[in-house]
Amino acid sequence: MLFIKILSTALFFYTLVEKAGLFSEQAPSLRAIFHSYPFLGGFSALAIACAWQSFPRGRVRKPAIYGRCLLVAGALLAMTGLWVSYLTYFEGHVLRMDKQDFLTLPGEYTEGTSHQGKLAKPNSIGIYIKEISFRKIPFMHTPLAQADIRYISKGQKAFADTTISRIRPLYKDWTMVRVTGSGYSVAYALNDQTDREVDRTYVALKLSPPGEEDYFSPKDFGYYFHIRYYPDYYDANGQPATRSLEQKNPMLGVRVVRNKDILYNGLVSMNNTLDIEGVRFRIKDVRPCVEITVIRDPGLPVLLAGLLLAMAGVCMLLPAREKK
Amino acid sequence: MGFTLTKYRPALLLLAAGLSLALAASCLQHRSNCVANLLFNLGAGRSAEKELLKKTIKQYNSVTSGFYASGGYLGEFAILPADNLIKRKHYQNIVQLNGQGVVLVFDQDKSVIQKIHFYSRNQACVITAEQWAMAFQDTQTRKKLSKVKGTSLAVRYMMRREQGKWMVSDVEVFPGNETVKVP
Repeated sequence: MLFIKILSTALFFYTLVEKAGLFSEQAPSLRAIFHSYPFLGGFSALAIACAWQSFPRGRVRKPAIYGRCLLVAGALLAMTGLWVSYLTYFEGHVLRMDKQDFLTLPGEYTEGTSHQGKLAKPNSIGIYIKEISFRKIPFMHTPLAQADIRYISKGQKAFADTTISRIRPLYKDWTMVRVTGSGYSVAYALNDQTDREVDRTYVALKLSPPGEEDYFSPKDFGYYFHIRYYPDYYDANGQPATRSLEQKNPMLGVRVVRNKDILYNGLVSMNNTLDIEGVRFRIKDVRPCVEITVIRDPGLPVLLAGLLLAMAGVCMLLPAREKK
Repeated sequence: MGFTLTKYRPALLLLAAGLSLALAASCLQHRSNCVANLLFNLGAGRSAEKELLKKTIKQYNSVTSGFYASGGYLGEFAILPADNLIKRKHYQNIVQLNGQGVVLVFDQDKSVIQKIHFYSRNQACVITAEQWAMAFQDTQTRKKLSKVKGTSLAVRYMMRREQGKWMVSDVEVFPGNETVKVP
C-alpha cells in the first residue's frame, strides 16, 4: 500500500515538474508527458501494484468481491490503454483553403507537424472543404473559424456533410478531425518592368483576427512583405479597422522592407499594383484558410474505460471500508 | 501544547519521497542537458546570455552594413551570425542592387535594446529601437546618387542558439512609432 501511495504521488509530481519544464528546454505537451518512458513505467507499476493489492484472496464478502474485481480489471485495462495509446497514436496538421481537399494519410501533412507511434495506422478519411467562415464568439478575442466539409471514410456508402471547428470536432473511425487554427491565404503576383510575371503563388498567413500582421518573402527577391488584412475596411479616426469579417470591402496594410529600409508602408486594395523599384506587386486574391488537426488515438477510450472501471470498483469498496 | 509536525510526519515523508522520485525521473528523461536547463530556468546565467545576445546583434548589424557598403563582399558572410535564409535574402538584395549599378550604404546611428525575452535556453526575442541613415552610391565611382535618408525603426530579432553560438533566425522591421510586442 505504501508503494502505491509513493508511486501515485511520484506520478503526480512528475507530471507537474515536466509541465513546468524545469529540466527541459521547453515544457512538453501532456501527450508527450504521458507517453514518456518514466510515466509509462510508473503507471504500469502502479496499475500492477493496484491489481495485486486488490486481488480477492480468501473469504471476501459479495459487494467487496465485485469492487475488487472491477478495480483489478480497471487497473490492467488502463495500463493496456496507455501502452496502446503510446504505440498507435497519430497526429498531423495541415493547412487548407476552401474548395481544397485532403486525405488523412501520412504524407499529406505539413512537414514537421506529424507524430506517429511505432504501430500507428492512420485511417483514410477523404475531406473536401466546401466553405470556411468566421464567427464572433462573446468574450473571445479571436473569431471562431469553422469549416463546412464533405467527407467519406472506409465503410461509408455516400459522402456526408458536417461543420467542424475547434469546439466541434468530427469523430470518425477512432479519429478526431478539428480546426485548430485559421488565417488567410494571400495570392500575390510579382511582375518586372516589362510586365513579365516573375512570381505568382498563394501564401498562407496568420492574419486573423483582422489587424494581426504576418509576412512573407518571395523566393527570388530579398524584400519582406508584411501584411495586415481588413476584410470590411473603414477608416476609424485615421486608423484602419474592419466592420465585419465578411469580405465586403477588402483592404490590405502592406509594408515592404529591404534590410533596414522601409520601402513602402500603407494601404493597398485588391488588384491594385504597387511599384517597388520597378518590381510590380499585386495582391490578386485573399481566401480564408484553416489549420486542420487529425488525431487518432485508439488507446484513449481503453484508458478512460479502465479508469472508470477502477473508480467504480473503489466506490463499491468504500462502504465496506467504512463498516470496518 | 505547541504545534508539532509529528502527526504529519508520514504524509510529509510520503510527499518528499514522491517528489524526489519525480525529480529524478524528470532529470533522467532530459539527462543530456538537465543541469543546464535547470540552472537556466532558475535564472542563473541570464545576464551573461543577455550580453551575448547584444553582442550578436551588434555584430549582425555591423556585418550587414559592411556587406551592403562593399557591394557584396562574400568574405563578410563567413562571420554573419544569421540563418542561411537571412543570408540568402541579403545576397538577393545585393544582386538586385548590383544589377541597377548601385550600392546601398547603411549607417547605424543608434541602437537601444528595449526588451529581451527568453523562450528557452536556446531561443530568445530581442526588441530594439534603432536609427539608421542610408544612401545610394554609384557602384564604380562611389558618387552619391541620393540624399541621405534617416529613419527610426523598431526591430524584432528572433534569436536561436546553434552549436553554442547565438544567431539571428528572423528579423522584422517596424516603423519607429509602432509598439512591438514579443510574440
